[in-house]
Amino acid sequence: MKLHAKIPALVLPLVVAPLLVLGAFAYSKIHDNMHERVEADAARALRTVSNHLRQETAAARGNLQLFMGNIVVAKYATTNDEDERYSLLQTPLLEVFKACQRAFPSYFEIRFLLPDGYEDARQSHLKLGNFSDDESASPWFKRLTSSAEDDYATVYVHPDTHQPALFVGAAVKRRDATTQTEGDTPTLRGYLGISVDLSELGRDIAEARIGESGFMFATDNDGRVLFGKPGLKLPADFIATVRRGIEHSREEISVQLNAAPTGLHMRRVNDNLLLFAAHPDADMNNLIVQSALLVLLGLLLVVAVTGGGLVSVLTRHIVRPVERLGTVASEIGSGNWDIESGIESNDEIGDLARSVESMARNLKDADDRVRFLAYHDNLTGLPNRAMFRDYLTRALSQAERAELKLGILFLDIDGFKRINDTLGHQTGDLLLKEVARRLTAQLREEDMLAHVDDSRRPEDLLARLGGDEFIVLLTSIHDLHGPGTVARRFIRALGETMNLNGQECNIGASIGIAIYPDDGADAGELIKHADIAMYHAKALGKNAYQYFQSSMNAAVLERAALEAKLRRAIAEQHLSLHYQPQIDPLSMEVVGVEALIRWTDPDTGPISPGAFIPLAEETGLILPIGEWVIDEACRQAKLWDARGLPSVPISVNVSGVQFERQDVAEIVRLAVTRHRLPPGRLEVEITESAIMRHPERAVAALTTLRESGVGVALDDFGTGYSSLSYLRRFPIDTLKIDRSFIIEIDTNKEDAEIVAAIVAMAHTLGLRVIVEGVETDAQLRVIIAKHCDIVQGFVFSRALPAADIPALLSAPLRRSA
Amino acid sequence: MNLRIFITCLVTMLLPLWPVHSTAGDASKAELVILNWADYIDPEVIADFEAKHHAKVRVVNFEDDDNRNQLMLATNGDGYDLVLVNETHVGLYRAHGWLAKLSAAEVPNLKHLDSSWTEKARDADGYAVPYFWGTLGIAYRRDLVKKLPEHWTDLLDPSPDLRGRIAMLSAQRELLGVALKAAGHSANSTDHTEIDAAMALLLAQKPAVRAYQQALLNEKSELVTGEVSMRLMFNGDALLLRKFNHNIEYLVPPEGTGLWVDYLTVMANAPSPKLAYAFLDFLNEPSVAAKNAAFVNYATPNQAAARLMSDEYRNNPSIYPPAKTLANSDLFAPLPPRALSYRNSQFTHLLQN
Repeated sequence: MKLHAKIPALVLPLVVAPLLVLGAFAYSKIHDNMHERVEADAARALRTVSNHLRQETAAARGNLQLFMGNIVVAKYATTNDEDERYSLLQTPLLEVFKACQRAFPSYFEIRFLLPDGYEDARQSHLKLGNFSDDESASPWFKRLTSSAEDDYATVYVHPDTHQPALFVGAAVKRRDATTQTEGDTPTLRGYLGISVDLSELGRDIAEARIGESGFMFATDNDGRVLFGKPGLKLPADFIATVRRGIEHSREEISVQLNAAPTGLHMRRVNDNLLLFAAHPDADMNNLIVQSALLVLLGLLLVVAVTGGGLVSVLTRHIVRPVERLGTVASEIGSGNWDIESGIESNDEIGDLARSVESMARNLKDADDRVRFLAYHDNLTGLPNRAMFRDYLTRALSQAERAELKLGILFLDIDGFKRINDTLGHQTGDLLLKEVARRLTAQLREEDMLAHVDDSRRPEDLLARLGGDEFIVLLTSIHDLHGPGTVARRFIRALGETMNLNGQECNIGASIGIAIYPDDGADAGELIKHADIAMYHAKALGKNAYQYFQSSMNAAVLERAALEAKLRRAIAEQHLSLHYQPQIDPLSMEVVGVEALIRWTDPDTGPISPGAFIPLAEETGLILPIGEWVIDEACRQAKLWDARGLPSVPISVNVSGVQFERQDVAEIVRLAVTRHRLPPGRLEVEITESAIMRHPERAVAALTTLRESGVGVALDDFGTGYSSLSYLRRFPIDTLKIDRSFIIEIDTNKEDAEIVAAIVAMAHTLGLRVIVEGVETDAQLRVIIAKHCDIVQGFVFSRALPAADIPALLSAPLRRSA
Repeated sequence: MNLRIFITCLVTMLLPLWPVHSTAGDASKAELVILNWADYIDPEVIADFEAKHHAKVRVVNFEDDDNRNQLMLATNGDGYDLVLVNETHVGLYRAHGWLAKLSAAEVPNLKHLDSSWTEKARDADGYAVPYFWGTLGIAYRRDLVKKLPEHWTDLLDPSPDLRGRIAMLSAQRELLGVALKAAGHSANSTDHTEIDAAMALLLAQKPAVRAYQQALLNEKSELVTGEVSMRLMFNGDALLLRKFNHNIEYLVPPEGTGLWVDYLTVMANAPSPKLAYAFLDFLNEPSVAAKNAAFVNYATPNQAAARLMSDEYRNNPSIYPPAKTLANSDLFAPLPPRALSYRNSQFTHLLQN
């Protein structure tokens, strides 16, 4: 997880968690506030309406008291004379009522009732007639008469208007002035009643809003809705529910109103009016959801600001420096030592940055040392192959820009191996040092001669590629002959006799030359082409140089591919030995087998020895191959011996290169010793030309071999010098006539005569003669006639895998033809 | 605040109830206070009396019966010497003890009166002196109505052109009385159904009515000026107004009307009882009575005076309705208390806004 992700992941919970707690707290507060607000709303509405009603009631009571003091009213109440009452007093009484009505238009009815409930005088706004002038049975009248108080207020549905009205009544008690004295108890004369129209209050109630969609309504004691919004239906058990709520003295009663759960606050305004403030639960839920959203929004804002701020601060002070350090470290890792982190803070990150920078400096020092080691040859102190390649690459890009020609000289010391082998590695090392010194001196001289002016031109460079190979970059090519001249000077300089620790020795050099841009565009190609040219030079003979030519290239490429394949074949043991029987034509017995190398490539199939042996010789691969052949032949012979097969000699081919570079005699000795094989079971075949490369070395080695009991055969006799005089000098036992003489032996008398002469001469020298490549009976007949000792060829058998040989050895051979 | 308005109204309403009796005026002269309808006595008669008795006569006018009752109630009858009372209230006033007993000795001229008029009111005998009697009828401007009225319905259900040009009186007795007559009932009906029917007529008429009030009896009277084309009126008043405009006519519809008799009474607590008796006596001198009758244009119960009247007066059908009309008419009578209460309470609907 990246710091970029980690820091928000760590910081945000730290920010969010307390905020969530805070949010939850705020939410619960808001929630409570909402509840309180709705409750306050409800309480206020209830208070407002009930206050209104109480004021109305109080005003009506006040008016009733005023009536009591009015003389007309007093007389009306006290008179016992109905004539007086109705003829004289009633109209003035009604006038008094009427005046009151004018002041209080809501008093739609003012009445004087006799103690028995008869409605004696009535001043009413109602256009309708009075349908009920005997109120003795009305509930409110009963309450009025039974009330201990002198006045009484209630709300009831007026029988004429069918609308809820406030009724305020008061008992009129007066002494009869004519019959009663001050001390007497006033007699009840009747009741004054005011009916107050409550439609305005009804509207107030119907229009009152509690919270969002709460509302008010009022009922009488029986749960009949007196006021409220139209369409309000109360459940049948409403009053029972409310009574239960009151009994349990709940502040809020829950009921279902219009199929919605609703909280109710109630207030009893008078003995027949219950005022309710209803607030649907959904309302509260909406408020709560809104407040929750608000809190959430606020929370998100705070989280965004705080979290963003924190993250940005942490990012600036930690993540970016750490990232920068990461970049710096990876730059350092890729070798950019001089990079500055730019972090100068005094905290741990600053310390880390300084440590990283100091580490970079240390690494740079170490790297410089390593680089020097990597780029220089330990022995001579010259640049090595890697450095040369880098340098050449840089020089090439400069040359490309400046359109310069470059020369690459590939130099290989002739005869170094010999010195190394004969005089020892220390001398070899001294030799290499001397070569380096001389070449450096030559190059310096060349430099001084060639150029002083051209600053764009890279320096010439001498490097040791490894072993006895050196390479030189010439940057000042005035004409194409320039490099050749330098090569000649090099050859001359190295040709002078060297004194190495008191030993004098002479060496030569072969030089290949490749020219940029003619012979290649990149370092690898140029070096390869110079190398190829060097081989060609070496092939021309020692102390020569060659310019690369494109015709060299194809052969070399093919050879290089083959070489690579061959190296793989050796490593992966794709090589094997087949054995071709050598037959005594007279006895038809197998008298020996020749081990022949076979290479079967897993991809391309069998590859002919003629195709790879020369390459192996050129590259020196012949050395390991040769050793392996000797060892394998010994092993096989021992196996056959172990199976009790007839002991026949095995002959192996040894290359001239082997004689040149190795102590073949020693190798053979080690091999037979290793396998506890009698040396006489082994025969070494060597070609005439191979002996002739280093006659003394070869003769010495062959002599040693013969002395140890190993047989020696001269192979391919007749193709080379074929000087019979040599035969005497060479320590050999067997002569193998080259197959070129056999091909036409049955038809070409001359060939037959030559073979006959060779056989005769060999017999004279005490040598056995083997004829190989015999394919037909006709050839065989001629050969037998010419007294060849042993025959080898398809006429008897081709070379066979080791597994097939025992059958041949144990059973007499029959000619195939 | 409503309460304040109400108190103000109440106080304003009660103000006139303070005793009217005043000590203001010429202290040397005895003062006679008469509570009477407006223009219901010839000012010259007053002046003659004042001159003759060296007294000051103050006439206090009342608007209608209820108004007079309130005035009486407010002072319990004190402060007035003479009060004009109609036939329905005489008994009540007497029962209240407000009326003084009269004697022939103190008012010798009572001998000229037709005793039958005294008997028409309950308990009037010995306490009340008949003053005039009359009818209720339709007074109208001949020149301002498209169709001359013939029946009560022409007033109670007026043609559209009369809308807002009708005036009515204001008392329950008169309005319900004529409405009952229009409906074919007795003016003194106590039957709730009949009363309700009469109330329905009055309520239906209300939108066409310009005012419910007593008419002015001078040249500014609305009937004279033409602001009103037709109204309910006492016969004498109509005849009085003809002096100002000859287009004014008076009609008692043939279905009959309410008949009334006014009495003059001396208050039991009259401040100047002697003067009051003197005034009654003066007023009933045949010549004075005749002169007063000629002024008010009502039928006088004073037989001696009647004989002094002109033919024009004596033959005026507005003063003396035809026998058939009289036969269809009802003398307003005191009503049973509860019936009256019913009429009162129903009648309140008419005059409230």
